[in-house]
Amino acid sequence: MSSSICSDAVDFARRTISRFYVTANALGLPPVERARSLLEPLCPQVVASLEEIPIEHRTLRTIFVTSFRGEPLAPCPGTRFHRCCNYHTVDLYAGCPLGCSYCIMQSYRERTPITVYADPAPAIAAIRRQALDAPNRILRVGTGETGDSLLYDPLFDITRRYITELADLPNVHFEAKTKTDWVDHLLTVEPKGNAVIGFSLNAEAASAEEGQSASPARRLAAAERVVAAGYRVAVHFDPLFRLGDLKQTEAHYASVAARLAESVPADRIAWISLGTVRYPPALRDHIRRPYMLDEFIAGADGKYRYLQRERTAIYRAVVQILCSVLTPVPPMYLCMESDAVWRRVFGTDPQSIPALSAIFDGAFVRGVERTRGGEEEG
Amino acid sequence: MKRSILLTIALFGCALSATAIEPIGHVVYLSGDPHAVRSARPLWLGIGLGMPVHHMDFFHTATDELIEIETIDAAGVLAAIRVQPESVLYLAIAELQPVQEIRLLSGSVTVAMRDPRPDAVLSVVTERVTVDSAGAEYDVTVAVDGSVLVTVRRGTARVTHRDGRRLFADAERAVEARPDGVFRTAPMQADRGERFRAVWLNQVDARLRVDPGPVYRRVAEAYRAVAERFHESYRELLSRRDILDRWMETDRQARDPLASADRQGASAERALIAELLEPAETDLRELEALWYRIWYLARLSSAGVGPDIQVAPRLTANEFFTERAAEARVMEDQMHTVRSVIRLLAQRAEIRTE
Repeated sequence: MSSSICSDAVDFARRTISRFYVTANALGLPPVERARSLLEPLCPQVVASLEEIPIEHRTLRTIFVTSFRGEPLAPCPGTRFHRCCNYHTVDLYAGCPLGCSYCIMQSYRERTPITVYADPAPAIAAIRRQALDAPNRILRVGTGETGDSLLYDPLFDITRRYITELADLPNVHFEAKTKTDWVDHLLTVEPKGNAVIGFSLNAEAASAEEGQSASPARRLAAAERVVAAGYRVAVHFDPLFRLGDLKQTEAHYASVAARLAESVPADRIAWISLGTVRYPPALRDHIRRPYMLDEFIAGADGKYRYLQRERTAIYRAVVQILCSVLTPVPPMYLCMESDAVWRRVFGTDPQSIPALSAIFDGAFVRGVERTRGGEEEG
Repeated sequence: MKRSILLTIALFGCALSATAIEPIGHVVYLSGDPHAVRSARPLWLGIGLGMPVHHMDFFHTATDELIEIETIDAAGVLAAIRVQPESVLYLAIAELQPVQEIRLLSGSVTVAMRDPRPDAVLSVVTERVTVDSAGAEYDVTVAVDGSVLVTVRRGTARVTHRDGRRLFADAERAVEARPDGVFRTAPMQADRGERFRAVWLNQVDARLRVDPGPVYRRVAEAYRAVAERFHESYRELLSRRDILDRWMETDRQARDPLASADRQGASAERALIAELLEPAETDLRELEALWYRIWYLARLSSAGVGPDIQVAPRLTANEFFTERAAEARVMEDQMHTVRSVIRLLAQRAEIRTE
């Protein structure tokens, strides 16, 4: 097994983790034992709960491992009044030290350690239950909402269990989403079922905003490896930035799209999500980057986004680029976007796009949306 | 001498009528393609930067749409009005009116008073409270359950509950009015109004998702009580369609509404319509405050939040909302028509019998 461990990942963990706390109920779990051996000489300290960790240690240099507690499976919280993509999330790794400048977690995970939920059994059971209750509905579920799915996974090796134990469910598409290229420990996992490895991609020009994440080239190389190993990949162009004027932005994203097309056969891409940069008011004072000087407005959910026409122009350009380089065109959708933008980019809402109907079946706008009774007929 | 007096009266009449149909402001900032209605008709060409805005113009913004309007002297009050995303309002602002109002039906509006005159007041009127201020910059938010939040960025805003209670909101004190009668100030960190509002809205949302029954029932009951009355008063108003059609025609052709040769007759028409309009306007106020929230609740219900809750004997929430969807077009047309008549009557407000 040790041959499949990415040494970069272990080096990164050794370099960035300076304290290791474990709750007593997680102490004997195999992931904890594995991490303990890889992090030696760092020794885990046993605590009853997060509250026992001294406040000065509650930082992203501390790792806190616990067995799972709380809601094992939840619909992605989405955002008020925006179109939801029917994604479900489970908490596996919460917190991330990669340091992306736009990371929304900066606004709510400032003073907490990186938390690892080392016992995936309750979450797996909840996913299985939901999938079996509605066998005709696609259940997309991922671990990448509160942290990077694979940043510490070479250390704990928990994703393997999700993949293998959900592999027999044809309606479950489990996704591990990452900005790293640390996928090698998953290449030999069998059975894989519908597991998807998701890569967040961005233009090279936006690399400065992605902290210690792997470069797009390394992520694409990792995508190539996982596809060769039999996985499908998901690609997340999120957040898309306006990089100069529209033509320059197009050129930046055309370059990364072309490299994506060279690295991954289009029919191995499970889905592509797109989202322009956005941030809640709480994050506004934390981000001190040049892109913040652009024009943003607060939407109904309170989050700041580019003006609607700017977002529409960026999406249309990127969608067009992707359609021109990827054949067959994988399912593409917008993340946390308004109906108006959906209509302007795709000409319709997601339920009316055959390739997306399986994904969006049963999805709804978080919150509510207006109707414009009579507007169409006038 | 007599001729010069008549000429003066005629010129004065022209000046007044010009004032009454002048725009009250312009669109100065815009995101997206918000919906606007003027004179009971949607603005088909859409809203553009610099577009003149008129008394009783109606705006409806979607999730990521926003309009900012700056009023001009003809409005009688100088202010910047930002219609926030997912909001519905109309502007009851005309120089010759005793009060200048923004009628906020749903969502949020930000008002920044720019008028140097201390007596220049612009009020934001909601179902539950009226907010006014002479020099403040403030936000008023109507949540889906009818709760209202007032947050202030600069200055002080006076918040008057419909039952007469009064509180003041400032940069460190928000004011909240809830459907259960709670009317209170809440401490707020200065300059954190947006965050405060986002958290407050999320709390309202969460409360509603946990227990939607009381809100559904209250809205259904209130709607059923007012809708019948509104239909009746609307029918009464439309009984003088002969006059209204003529007024609307004059308006569409942008002709001077005060240019009637028969001033005596015009004044009588005005009095007649004013009498018929009064009950329709009262019912409209009640109905419109519910109507735009009903859509948000309907969406929640169809998303699985309490669709089977009984809102009346043998009527579930889902059935109630389906009924409303079926009549939506007619109801909205009728409400826009009443608003349009309010505007047409205001245009004729200067007609006096000699």
